[in-house]
Amino acid sequence: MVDRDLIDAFNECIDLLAAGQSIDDCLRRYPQYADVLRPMLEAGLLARRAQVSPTETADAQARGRARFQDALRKPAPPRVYRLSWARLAAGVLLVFMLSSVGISLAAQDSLPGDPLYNVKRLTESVQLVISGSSPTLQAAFEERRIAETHTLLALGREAQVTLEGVITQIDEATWQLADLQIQIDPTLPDAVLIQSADRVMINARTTRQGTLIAETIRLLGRTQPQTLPTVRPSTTLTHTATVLPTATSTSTASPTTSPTPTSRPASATPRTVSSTPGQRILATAPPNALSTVAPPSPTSVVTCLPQHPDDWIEYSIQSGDTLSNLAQRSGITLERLLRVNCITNADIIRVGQRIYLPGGTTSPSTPDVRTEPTRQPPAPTQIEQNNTEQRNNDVTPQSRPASSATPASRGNRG
Amino acid sequence: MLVIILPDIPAEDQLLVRARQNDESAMLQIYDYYFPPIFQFIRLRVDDQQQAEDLASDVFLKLVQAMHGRNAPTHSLRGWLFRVARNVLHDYYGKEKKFTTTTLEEWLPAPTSGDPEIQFMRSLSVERMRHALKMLATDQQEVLILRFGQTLSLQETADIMGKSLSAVKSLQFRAVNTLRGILGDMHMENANG
Repeated sequence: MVDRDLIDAFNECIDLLAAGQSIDDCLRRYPQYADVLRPMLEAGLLARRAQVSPTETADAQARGRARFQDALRKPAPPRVYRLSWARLAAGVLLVFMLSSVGISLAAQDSLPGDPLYNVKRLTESVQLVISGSSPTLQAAFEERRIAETHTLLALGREAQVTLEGVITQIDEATWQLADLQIQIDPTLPDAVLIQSADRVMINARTTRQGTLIAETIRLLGRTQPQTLPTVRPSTTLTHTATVLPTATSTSTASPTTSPTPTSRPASATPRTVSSTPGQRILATAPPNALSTVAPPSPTSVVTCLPQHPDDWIEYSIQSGDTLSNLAQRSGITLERLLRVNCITNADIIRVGQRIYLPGGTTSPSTPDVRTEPTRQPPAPTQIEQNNTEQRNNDVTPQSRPASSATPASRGNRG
Repeated sequence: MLVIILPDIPAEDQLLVRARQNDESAMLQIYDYYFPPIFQFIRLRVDDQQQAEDLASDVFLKLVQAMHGRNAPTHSLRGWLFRVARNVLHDYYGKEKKFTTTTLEEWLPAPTSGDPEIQFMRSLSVERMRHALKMLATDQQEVLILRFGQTLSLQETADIMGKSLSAVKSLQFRAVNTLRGILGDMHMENANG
C-alpha cells in the first residue's frame, strides 16, 4: 500500500543524513514527499540522540580494556577440531566398513562409562540372540559384569553397573553377590522382598572409595530345589481342609536366628533352610526354571518350600485366574502369595497349577481366620512384618506365640 | 551475496593480519576503535549498565577466540563485530521481542511552539528517547540504531542483520513510523497531562 518510491526515497535520505547532509537537503531532493518525510526523518534522528553518554562509554571501555588484555595474554586454547559434516559422514562410513568384529574386539575390555562399552553390551546381546539365550553364555556375561565391577572398584572409578546373580545377606545393609559386596539400603523399594539366595538384578554404582552401592534392586527369582518335595499335606484338596504343615518342616518350630548352612536340594527329606531367622522356605511344587545352583557361600543355599499356615489350602489355578486377583480375593498381598508359594516368576502360572491360599479363597476371606496381625486385603506396604510372622505361623494360630520365638521381622537378618 | 567492502579504514585489513598474528597492539587498537559503537549498540538494548558492559566484553572476547581459531574475520570487521553483538544480545534476551513498559510520569511536558510533533521530539531527553526505542520490537530497534545511530549503509546493515536489502528498507520504514506512533501517544498523554 505504501508507495515503493516513498520507501526508497526514505532510504536515500537516511544515507544522505549519514553522509552529513541535513533533512532539508533531503527534502529538496524529494519535494513530493517532503511533508511525509520530515517527521519520519526527525524521528529516525532521535535514534541518534538516544546515545549513551560519552563518559559512561569511556568508563566502560577502560574497565573492559584490562579484561581484554588479559584475554589476549592467555595462551590460546588448544585447537578444537570442529567436525565438518563431510568428515563425519566419511567417518561413519568407515565405521560401517570396519568389520563389526573389529569394533567389538576393541570394545571387549571396556568398562561401564567407556565410550565403547555400549558396543560391548550390544555385541553381547547379539550373541545371546544368536545362541538362543544360552544359559552358559548368560552366565558368562554375568561373570563379566562382576569382573568389570571388580575392575571399576579397584580403579576407584565411578560408574553405573548392572549385576545379576544370586545374592546373600551379610548384615542389615550389606549383601554379597558372587564375591562382590554391595551396600543395599533396606528402604529401597523391593529391598524388603529380597532374601538370601534370591536371584536379583541390581543397578548399582561404584564409588571412588571402592564400594558398591545399590540403587535399584529387583527380584528375579528364588533358587529351587531340583527334587520335588514329598511333604505334601495328606488332606484332600478341599478348601475346608486343614492343611497340615509338613511334618518335618516344622523345623518351623525352630526358627533359626542365624543363617544356617542349608542342606542341598538333593536331599530327599524336606529341609528347612533358612538363612534368615524365621525364614523358612520349603520345597515347592512348581519347579522353577531358575538356576538352582547355590551360591558359593555356604550360608546361602536355599530351597524354597511353600510355607503356609495350616488353614491355608491348596488351590488349583483355573483358567482366567491371575495371581494378583487370587491374592486379592484371599485378602493377602500378591507378594505374600508369591513368597509363600515360592513363586518367582509371576508371569508363568499354569492352569491346574497348585498353589496355597488362605482358606476360603473363593470368597474374600476375613483376616481374622488367620489371626494375622492387621492383615487387611492388599496392603502392599505391610508385607514384611506380617509376612514373616505369618510364615512362622504354620501351626495353629494359638501356637504361634510359641513358634515365633524369634522375631521374624525382616530387619533381623543375619 | 556480494559483500561490499566497507569504507572501513583500508589499513584495517592490515590491522587484522597483525592481530591474527597475535600482535597485541593491533588487537588493542581494534578494541579502542570499535568498543564505543558496539557498546552503544548493546547499551541501548540493555537496561543494566553492568550487564551491558559484560555483554560488550563478551563480543570482544569472542573476537580474541576467533582470532585463535579458524573463523577470524579477515575484513569487514565492523560488520563482524556487530553481528556478534547482535547474537550476544539475542542469546541474552532469547528470541522474544522485549517490550519495556514505561510510566507516563517520566515524560516531560511538550513545548508548544512550532510543529508540535517535531517540537516534542526535539525536546525529549535522552532517557525518554531510549525508553521509546525500547518499546519497539527487536528488529526495529536494531535497524534504527544501525542505520541512524551508527550510520551504517543499507548493505552493511543487511549483512549484519541477515536480511535482504528490500527487507531492511521496509523494516526501517516501519520502525520509524512505529516510533512516531509511540512518540505521538506520549505526546498526547503529555498534552492531556
